[in-house]
Amino acid sequence: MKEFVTVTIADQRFGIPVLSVQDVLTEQRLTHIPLAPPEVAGALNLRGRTVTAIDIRTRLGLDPREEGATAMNVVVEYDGEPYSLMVDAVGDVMALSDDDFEQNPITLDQVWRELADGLYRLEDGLLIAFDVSRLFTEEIIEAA
Amino acid sequence: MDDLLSEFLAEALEGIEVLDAELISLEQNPNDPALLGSIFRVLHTIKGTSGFLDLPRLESVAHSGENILGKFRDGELEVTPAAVTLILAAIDAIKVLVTAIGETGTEPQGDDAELIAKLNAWAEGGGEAAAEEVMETPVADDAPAEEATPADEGEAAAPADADVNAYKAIGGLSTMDGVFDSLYRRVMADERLEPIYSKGDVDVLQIVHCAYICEQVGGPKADTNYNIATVHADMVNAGLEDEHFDAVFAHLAAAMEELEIPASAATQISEVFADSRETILRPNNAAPAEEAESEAAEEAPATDEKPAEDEPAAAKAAAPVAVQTIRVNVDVLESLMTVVSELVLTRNQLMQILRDQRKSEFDGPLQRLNQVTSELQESVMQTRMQPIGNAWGKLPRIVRDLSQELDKKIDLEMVGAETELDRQVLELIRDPLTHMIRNSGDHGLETPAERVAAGKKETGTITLSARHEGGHIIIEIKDDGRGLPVEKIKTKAINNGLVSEAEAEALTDQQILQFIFKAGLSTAEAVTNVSGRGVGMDVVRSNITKIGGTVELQSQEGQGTRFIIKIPLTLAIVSALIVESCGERYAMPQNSVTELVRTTASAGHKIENINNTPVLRLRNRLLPLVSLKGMLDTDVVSKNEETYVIVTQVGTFSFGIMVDRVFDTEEIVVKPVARNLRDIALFSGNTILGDGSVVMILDPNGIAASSSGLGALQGEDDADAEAHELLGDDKTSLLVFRAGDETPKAFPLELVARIEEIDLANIEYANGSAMIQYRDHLMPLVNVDGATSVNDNGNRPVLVFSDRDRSMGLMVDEIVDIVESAVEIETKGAVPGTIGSAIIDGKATDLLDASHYMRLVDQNWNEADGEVAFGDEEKSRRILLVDDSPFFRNMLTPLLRAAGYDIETVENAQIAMKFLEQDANFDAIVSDIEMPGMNGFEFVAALRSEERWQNTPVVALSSHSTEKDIERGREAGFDDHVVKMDHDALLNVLMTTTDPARKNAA
Repeated sequence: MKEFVTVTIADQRFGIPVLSVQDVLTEQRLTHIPLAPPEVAGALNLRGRTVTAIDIRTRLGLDPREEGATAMNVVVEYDGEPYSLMVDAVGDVMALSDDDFEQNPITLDQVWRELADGLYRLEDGLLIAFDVSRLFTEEIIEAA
Repeated sequence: MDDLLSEFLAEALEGIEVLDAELISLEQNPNDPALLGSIFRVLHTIKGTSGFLDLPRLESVAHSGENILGKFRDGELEVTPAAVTLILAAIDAIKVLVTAIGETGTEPQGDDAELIAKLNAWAEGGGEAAAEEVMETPVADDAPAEEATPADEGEAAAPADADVNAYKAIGGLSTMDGVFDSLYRRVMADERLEPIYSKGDVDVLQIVHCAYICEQVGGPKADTNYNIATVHADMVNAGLEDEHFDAVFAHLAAAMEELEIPASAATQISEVFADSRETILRPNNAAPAEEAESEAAEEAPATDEKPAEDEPAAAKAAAPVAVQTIRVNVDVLESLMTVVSELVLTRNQLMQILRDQRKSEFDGPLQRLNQVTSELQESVMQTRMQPIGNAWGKLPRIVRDLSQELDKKIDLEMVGAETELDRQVLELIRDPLTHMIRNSGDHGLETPAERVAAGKKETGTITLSARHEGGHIIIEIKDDGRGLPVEKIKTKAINNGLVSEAEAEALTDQQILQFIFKAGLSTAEAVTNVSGRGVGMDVVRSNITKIGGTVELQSQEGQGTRFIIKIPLTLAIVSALIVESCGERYAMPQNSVTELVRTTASAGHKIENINNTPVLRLRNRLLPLVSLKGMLDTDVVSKNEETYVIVTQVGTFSFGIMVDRVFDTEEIVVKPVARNLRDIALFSGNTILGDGSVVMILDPNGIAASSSGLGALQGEDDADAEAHELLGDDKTSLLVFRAGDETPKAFPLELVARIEEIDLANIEYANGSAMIQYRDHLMPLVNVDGATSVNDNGNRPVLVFSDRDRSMGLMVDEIVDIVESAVEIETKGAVPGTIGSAIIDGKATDLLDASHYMRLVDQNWNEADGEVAFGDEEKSRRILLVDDSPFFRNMLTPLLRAAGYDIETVENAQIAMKFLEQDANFDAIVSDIEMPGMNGFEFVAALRSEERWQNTPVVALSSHSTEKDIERGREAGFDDHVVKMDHDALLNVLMTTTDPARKNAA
């Protein structure tokens, strides 16, 4: 059994391992960072720490959020640095059984496949398990 | 590892650090008793404590070293470089042992017999020869040396003057120390004495007691800060009585026996010891004796100062000036610093809130909080400040070793060692500095022979200096050696693939020197033990950049090299100017801001543009500007009337950064940016402002480096030169190359579109001419002699000339350089394809005519071009060019011809007037402004005064164009104004002015 915080991006459910999540925040005031890679939405202040916000939509190659739609922030720590993953909505924490786990379908989009650990079959749909560390693989780190 | 041991190790390492430096100065000032005393004491303490902690190897090495030092002190041995080398060897051995103990907690296995034998042989007066001899017949004896040597020495010396001087007879202080070591070990092992003696500081007691006895038996005067009664005071208070004294006396006898002190000396020592009974046990009764003693003490010169931590309570009164220090774990200071940083932030937030509220009951307390926080911040910063000399401590030793190893004579001068900077910064620059000093010594300085041959002093000097400047510390490392070999660096950079040959040719010397900061580039021909391993300067630079510093490099071949390191005093909190650009705020570190200028479009300071390059006139200088908006690539359009210019200094180079608004300054805590943003050179970090928002911190170095043209100029140009650069000046950039023969040839760089390297194997032939596939087109190739065939292999540089959509390549043998030079064409060239010759860079150089080659590969180049450029024009336009500079006449003629114009040139206005009298059939006149005799303004006025020239377009050609000049030109009658070097603009202007249809449209 693994526990995930479920989030929604473009009507698709994703799971972020609960142990890697530090905070869940509502829409935050972001400071735009010019020249940054496109998925870097900006920086925000979380209790005196600066957190780099990554828009998962951009990362996944999806259209930007609609005007006026708010984004939720899921703060994770990677390599000692806090990052905020911007998603459309945050659901609840679910414990999922390994029995329901599936490998990524090989037909899945390359970008998605890179970020996803695999899929969970749920009664009411599929949940993609994010591999948080892969969000920060070379491409994004080097993209700047 | 117990506390005692770790304490000792820390102290020993600290002591050794000092020893290195002190021994070197001892070598230079052999007669400085204070220095000698201090060195002796460090080694003595190590010896004493290691004996106490049962570290026999350490003890014996320290002891043997101390033996020699003792003899230096007594004047029995002379301080020679060889002896110092030997002692340094002993100190190295101690260092190794101490480090090993630090790692494992116990002494490592091993044998120091050889070193000890060498040391002892030296101590016995044999000097170098004796030590060498011992080397040949090593003594296989690793027993603690103090047991063996003093006895030998005693026997050797005893027959000579045993009755006269017991001190000399037993072999001086070292032996006496052995005795007292043994004595106090016995005392502390004695259960009757231990409770009493442990009340006081036995280490100090032992040293003082020993010194006292030595003085009494004919040795040197004891330290004035101590006397035998005061060091015993604690013991007397703890109940030291006659019976105890007797017991100590008995131990003394045993100790002397153990060390085989000759009988006559032993008697003398015992007597003196017995005599001190009254002074020690009843100091008040023995006042007269003590008085005499202190009198003697006053006479004796103060030999040195005890390190503060060794100061026993009893002696404090005697040395009231001593600074009180405690050791604090660095981590504690670090976390204190972090907390204070956060406190400062919170303070700032509160102050911000306070500012928004007009009147509040928090006013008073907050004001106090503000003040206290500032003071706290300052004090905490102070705890982190250390003199930079701490990072220099090892350098004299390194330089000394270097000079011996490399057989060079090196003087190390250190200036400003007391300059303080943040401990963290200090740690980070320690290694880079060491490396750079090594470099200077190893390949910066020449051998004595080379120096003499070059007419320099035999001894090379490395100067290391530090000083404060603004919020920075400036460290300079200067040597008077051979300087950096530009050519060698260039070759190496090319070989290592850091730069292509063609690119390298385009670089200035200053830029080439920068390659030494790249990985894998060492200019040392041979890899020595010291340097030349190809790692180094890149690490040096990255370490320094990491802490927000910069390294500048100045080098003059044959004269020496100078590195200038500029680093911030502290990293944690900086004062920053908050600015706004495109609606976002940024923090600009204040220490790089020299001034702020407010500019408006209408009045006061005004930003002017030259070919879309903004500049600002500031106190009669032109300041190049960069737009933060442009740099940040933001597409937000802001239309505000006023712009602020932050005048920024990077190195010696000034430029202005244009921003929309400037707020006030704030103290900010620098936080690193996330890893995926670290490549953005423009930012050095981010921070959280008083209102809680995150802002990026701008990096002036990054901005300078990222803005095209500014980066390369860093550190070599001042604003004045920069202004010239922007305005275009009389100098021309010329690409110098070789082709065919040895005579250097040149093109104005602007005519050359690109420099490519082609593989001759890729050349194809079409219609008997050499061609190469280039950017999806066939590009004709030609040799400089006009031949189009090639019978060679390998790669050749090719100069590509482009005109609209056509290109041609000129194959050359070698690109030599790009030079900035004022060109005076000396002779008209008879050879087709050349314009003439000029002296460039001290050599006669042929200036080639590009249009000749263009025609060579394409007979129809001109005509075809005319068609492309001017559509249905049938008759080519005639233009008269008036310019006093032959260079420009020669340069513009082929250019204009290539563009399809028929061109006539004259060299001044008077001749032009005459010329026009005879031949008036010109479509346009292009005239220089600054000409001898009649200048451009007068010329055009004269033209306009005659009716037939009323409507002929006249274009001004000038190297200086300000709004004012242009205005004046218009008034005088010029139709347009073009900057001399801007060919495209000239062509455009001619195109519009000579074509009535276009003119009307425009």
